[in-house]
Amino acid sequence: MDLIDIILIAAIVLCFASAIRKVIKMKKNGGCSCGCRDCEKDCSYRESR
Amino acid sequence: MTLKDLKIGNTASVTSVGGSGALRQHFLDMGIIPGAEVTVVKYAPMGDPVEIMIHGYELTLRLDDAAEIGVEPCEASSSSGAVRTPDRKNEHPGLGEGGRFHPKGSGDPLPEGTTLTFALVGNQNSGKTTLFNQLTGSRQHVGNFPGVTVDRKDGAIIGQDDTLITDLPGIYSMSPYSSEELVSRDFVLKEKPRAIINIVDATNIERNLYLTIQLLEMGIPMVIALNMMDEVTGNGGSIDVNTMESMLGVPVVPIAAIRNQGISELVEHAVHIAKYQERPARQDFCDESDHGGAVHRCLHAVIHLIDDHAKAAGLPVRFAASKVIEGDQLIIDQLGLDQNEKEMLEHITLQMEKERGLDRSAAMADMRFSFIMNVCSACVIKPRENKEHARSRKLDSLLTGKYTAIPVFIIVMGLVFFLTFGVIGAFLQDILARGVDALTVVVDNALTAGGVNEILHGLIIGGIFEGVGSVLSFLPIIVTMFFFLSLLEDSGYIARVAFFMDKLLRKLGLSGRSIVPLLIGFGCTVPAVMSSRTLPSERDRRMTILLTPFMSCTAKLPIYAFFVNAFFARYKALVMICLYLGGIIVGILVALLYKKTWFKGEAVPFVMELPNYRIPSAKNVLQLLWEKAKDFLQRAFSVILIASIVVWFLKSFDFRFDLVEDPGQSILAAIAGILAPVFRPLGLGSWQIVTSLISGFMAKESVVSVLEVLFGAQGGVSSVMSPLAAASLLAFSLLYTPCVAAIASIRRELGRKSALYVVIWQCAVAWAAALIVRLIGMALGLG
Repeated sequence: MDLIDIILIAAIVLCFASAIRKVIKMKKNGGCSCGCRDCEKDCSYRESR
Repeated sequence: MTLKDLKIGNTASVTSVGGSGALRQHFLDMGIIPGAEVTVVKYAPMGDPVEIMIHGYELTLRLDDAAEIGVEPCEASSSSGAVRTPDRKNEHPGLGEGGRFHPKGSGDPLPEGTTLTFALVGNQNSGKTTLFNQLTGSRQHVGNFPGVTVDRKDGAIIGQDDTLITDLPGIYSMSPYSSEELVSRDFVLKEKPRAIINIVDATNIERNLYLTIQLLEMGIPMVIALNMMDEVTGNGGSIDVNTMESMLGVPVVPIAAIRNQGISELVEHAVHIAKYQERPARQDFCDESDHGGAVHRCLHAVIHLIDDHAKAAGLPVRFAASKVIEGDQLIIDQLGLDQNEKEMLEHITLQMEKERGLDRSAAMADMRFSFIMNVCSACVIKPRENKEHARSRKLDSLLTGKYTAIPVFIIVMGLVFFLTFGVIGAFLQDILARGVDALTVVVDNALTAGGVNEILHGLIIGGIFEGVGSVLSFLPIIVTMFFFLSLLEDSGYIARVAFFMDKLLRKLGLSGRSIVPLLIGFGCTVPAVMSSRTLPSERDRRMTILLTPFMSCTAKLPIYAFFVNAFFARYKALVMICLYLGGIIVGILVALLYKKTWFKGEAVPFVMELPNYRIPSAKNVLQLLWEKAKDFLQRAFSVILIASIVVWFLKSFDFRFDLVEDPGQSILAAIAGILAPVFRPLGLGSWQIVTSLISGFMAKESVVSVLEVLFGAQGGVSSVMSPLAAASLLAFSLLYTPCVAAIASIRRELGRKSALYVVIWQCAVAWAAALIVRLIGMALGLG
């Protein structure tokens, strides 16, 4: 396996992990993954309670 | 004679208010009280509801409800509010200012470090959220429609540490009529903010002060923000703020929230009264000389009677007494009165009704409006008809005209869809798709030249670029759609649509106000479900929520565009229109089914204020577009990226994690194959399609990305599917379960069972519709 392959695999793994983190964060916000303004604020309000 | 019998332009004086319960109380709170002057402005194009002018603002109600209001024709007075020119300059009372005058309280500040909590309370569409955004620097959504804020929002005031201001949904009174009114009332009563910032629309001051009076009764430190003063003064009116301040006993600060005028002065006063806990200097608004002081004596007798109970329950006694007289069961229960006391209260109230000649609710509303009229006659110089109202009247003659309203609505909606799919959105999509394709080629060549491992190469191009790239190109269409929906909402047009669609929607068992969530549903189901909170009845709210998934959301657009381009390119517009209409027609059929079974009965009365048309703020619209684009990109690089990589992995390997040549031997084929027989009658029995539909539950856009990943190597989806199967798939995609975000919001609003019901019911309806499409196609010999 070349160095470039290792770099690409590392980049993909990082992107994948970051995407999963984002989805988990959305899920924590009351199951909301839409992220639109109204429900985003609603979620942050619920989270702050 | 009743209000229903009046002709357009006729003016009459209200003699009686019929009806019962919360609706009657709502009428009274909106200013429909005996003696008030009403003028019929217009009837909706289908003859119902009717728009009336009362206390200088426009209100709509149904003819059935108008028939409950007794009237007596009279001459229209020159101005709806008694006004005079203040003859001398009054000294500024200096309430809420340091070192001048502390009417109550010792002037001792709260200990340093105490968080000063504020409730921002006001009528619907009075500019609360605009003020909240100015105070906190936040970017909450504002719109020109009563009830944009459906939940409370918190934030700290800029430059003021240890402050927390809560933006509450707009309410007309402290009598809970809709669930949002209950949210606001509960917040003030239970969470006991240190102070209230009461925002009052100065262009509609009589009705706005009705809520102010009730807030003052609560004895909480309060400052009044007289909003839209720029419109009042700009149209030749004025308000003597000093006199108003001394009459109401709380600081009054003129502001123009949208122009950021008067905000710093408002903050200074608000912080001062909260810090020093300066309570209103006046809480007593009943007149000893009015009808022998009937209401005055009744109110004070009740205050003495329930004093201990109110203290024990933590309720402001004056407020509790008013509500007990009005028969507010929630407050009566909280007070925990014993039978003797309840009987005594009833006797006192009956005596008041007899002496006053009005029933209890009307007498209390009349007492408040009498005080408001006194305040207005002392301090308000009414402006001539403001420019905004004159403009609205002209526009309404076309947009809500008897013969023009429905055709204009169809043209407007047609134009929105045409511009979105045919002109602006499609043009931008084309550019972006070319950009994505070019980038894919560049990366593909670079990977080949770099001699990157074959599997890795496949993952990057066949997985990530095919998947995420195919969805990215739909960004312009979605943003364009939201742009137009936002324009319609912010201009005030959607409120008119609710007005003239009420009669039609009532036939389906819904109220005109349900049109708002349903129209928003064409954008995204999540805010649509949330916006249903403005509906005053639980029955209407539940029914509207269950119908929103039938309105095709923008996330489904990529699926339609993908299949239409691949199979029906010649009939693009026609198929698109059929899909949207199909969703609406199935929604109507389901609504009729609900009306006959689950939601028997009539929709609640339609009582709504029509706001003036306003030019949408560019900042507001651009902000919405930016957030929608950001949201879409976030999803493309999270949910859709994960789905693309997982699907690529599952289709490339078998259970022993060996790379497979034929995807039919892969893990994915085995898993999706289990569900495939269910879809076989629809002509969609292949494991690739089943997989894409399952991934659509996470995010609708990923249906396309998954299909691209799975069919990309086989020369695209058109080489493996027939046009009839594509039509069947389109019908299924149109109606099947909304995405997980929408289901989560339905669960929040209606509970777990209803959310589960929506998933199963939508899938069943979609399956049946897809089968019908297929059978019709086969009968026509298309299969």
